[in-house]
Amino acid sequence: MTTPQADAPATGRRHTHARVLAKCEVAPRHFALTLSNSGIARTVRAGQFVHVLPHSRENEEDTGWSFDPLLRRAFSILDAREDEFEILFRVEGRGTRSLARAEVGEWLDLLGPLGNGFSLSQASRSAILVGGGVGVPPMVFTARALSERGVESQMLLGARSAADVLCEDKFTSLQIATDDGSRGHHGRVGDLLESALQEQLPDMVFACGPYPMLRAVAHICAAKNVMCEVSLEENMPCGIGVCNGCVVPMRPSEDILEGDDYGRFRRICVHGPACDARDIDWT
Amino acid sequence: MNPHTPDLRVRLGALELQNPVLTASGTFGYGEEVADLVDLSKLGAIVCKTVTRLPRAGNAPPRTCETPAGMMNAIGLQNVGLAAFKRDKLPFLRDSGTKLIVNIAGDSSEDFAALCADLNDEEGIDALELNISCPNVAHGLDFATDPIQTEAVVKACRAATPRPLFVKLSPNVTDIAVIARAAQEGGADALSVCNTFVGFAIDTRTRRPRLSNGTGGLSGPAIRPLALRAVWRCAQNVQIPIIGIGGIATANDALEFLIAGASAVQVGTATFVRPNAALEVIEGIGEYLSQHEIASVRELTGSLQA
Repeated sequence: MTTPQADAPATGRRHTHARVLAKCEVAPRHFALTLSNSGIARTVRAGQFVHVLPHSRENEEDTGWSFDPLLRRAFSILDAREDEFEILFRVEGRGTRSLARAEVGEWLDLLGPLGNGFSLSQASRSAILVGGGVGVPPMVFTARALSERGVESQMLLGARSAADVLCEDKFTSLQIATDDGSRGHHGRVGDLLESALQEQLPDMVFACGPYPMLRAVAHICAAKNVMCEVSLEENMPCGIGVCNGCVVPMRPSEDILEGDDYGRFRRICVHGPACDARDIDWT
Repeated sequence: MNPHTPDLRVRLGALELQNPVLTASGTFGYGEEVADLVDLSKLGAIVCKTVTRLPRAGNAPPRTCETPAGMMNAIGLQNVGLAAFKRDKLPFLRDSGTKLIVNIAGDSSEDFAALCADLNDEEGIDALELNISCPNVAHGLDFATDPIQTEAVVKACRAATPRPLFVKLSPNVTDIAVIARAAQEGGADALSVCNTFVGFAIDTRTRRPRLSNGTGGLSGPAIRPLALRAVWRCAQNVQIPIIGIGGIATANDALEFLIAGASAVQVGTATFVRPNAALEVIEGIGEYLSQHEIASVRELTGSLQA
């Protein structure tokens, strides 16, 4: 078939808003926001994301919008319980700087839950989680969701330095690698993964982090024939599948007929952000 | 007509719309992607993503970047191609509850005309919009920057289909009025003014372009005054209706375009930020008409005061 899979939107996504219940600077330039929205908190799955306008408002009713910065920002979910959920981000540019100024009691406009989430059911007994930088927070949610399914998970956490290690108290089984050696293994988190796979092969590896890390993880898993899902990032204007901006290149497959290369690029807002690492064209 | 329920109907050539707010091509997919978030039946019309004869993969990422009060894109006309469009996308669009305008792009006058002809037998298409102004594919701007080619491609399409033809113009020209007149001369029923402005952005950390394509099309509130001026200029120079496009996010933005001479507007980039932006614009136009006791939105078109 040449037809890309039907554009079924994520179930239950909505345009909504959430009140800021708490804000915490968890590390230099890293902020965690606790947001109140039961619709999202009760339905979101590990690996899904919310698309947030980078301007907080004082009133729930205020629907005016500022045009600069214009676009929403995508954030994965650190964790969700009952009526609230958390996001954790690093201040990188104008949007995250603006969001970091949101005050407790203010409101954020958001779309969610979006994306597909990780295929947790693929892991029946054990999983290895790999997170780097701000790719660590979604692994907190993933680890808890796996644990509730009776799946053991081992977290491998990569950071630039000891000061950038995020969420370490949230994992029961944890190994750390830092680029500068100030904490844990001196080197890449991929080194930890290679060692872990020497000992035992898990059902699944789930990974989120910078592109070079994901590529390394994908290659290590492919060499060991271990199933791996990576959570991808790309500039994402709409988050709802209409702009075709957030695409990643896919490996040519038998699904794609000659002369029909429409499927070469896939939108990660609907076909991701979690993707089977074997489907990605890592070149 | 009851003065408290203003008449929002507009006419674009032979096509009557229930209101003057359309979705801009490339910002609303094929409609199905957002049907859970947006009541499609309330739109003036859906203008769907550009359809080309063969499927197109589009450009490599990164395809978009944010700029002050706007964004640039270089999608590269990624689309499913004519056959899959007819088979997989058209049935849904046909039943959306509103009018459908199919945006098409060809690589020659003959290709454009053949696309028009190939859609003639398909029911449920209310008009065609000729994308002669995509800045993100090779030769995409050839037509829209040349009045002779513009007239020729519109003429060829005019001969190929009885459907209303809208022609989407590029602002990346010395004088858009010249191109607008050429499109009118070729037999266009309305003009869509305008497509994105070609821009460029550099990542100073890597000293590389921020888009893989190098240049991209600038859209969003940043271009609104530029687009408004293009609409105003076209309105001075043609007699056919104009559909205003460019950075429209609120009803007030849309009203500016109508007053400058547009008969309808398209909402584009704003939909990325607020999926219901177009419906909010429709509602706001209605409120404005009620407040100002204007019976019909058609009275606004070209009502600019000296």
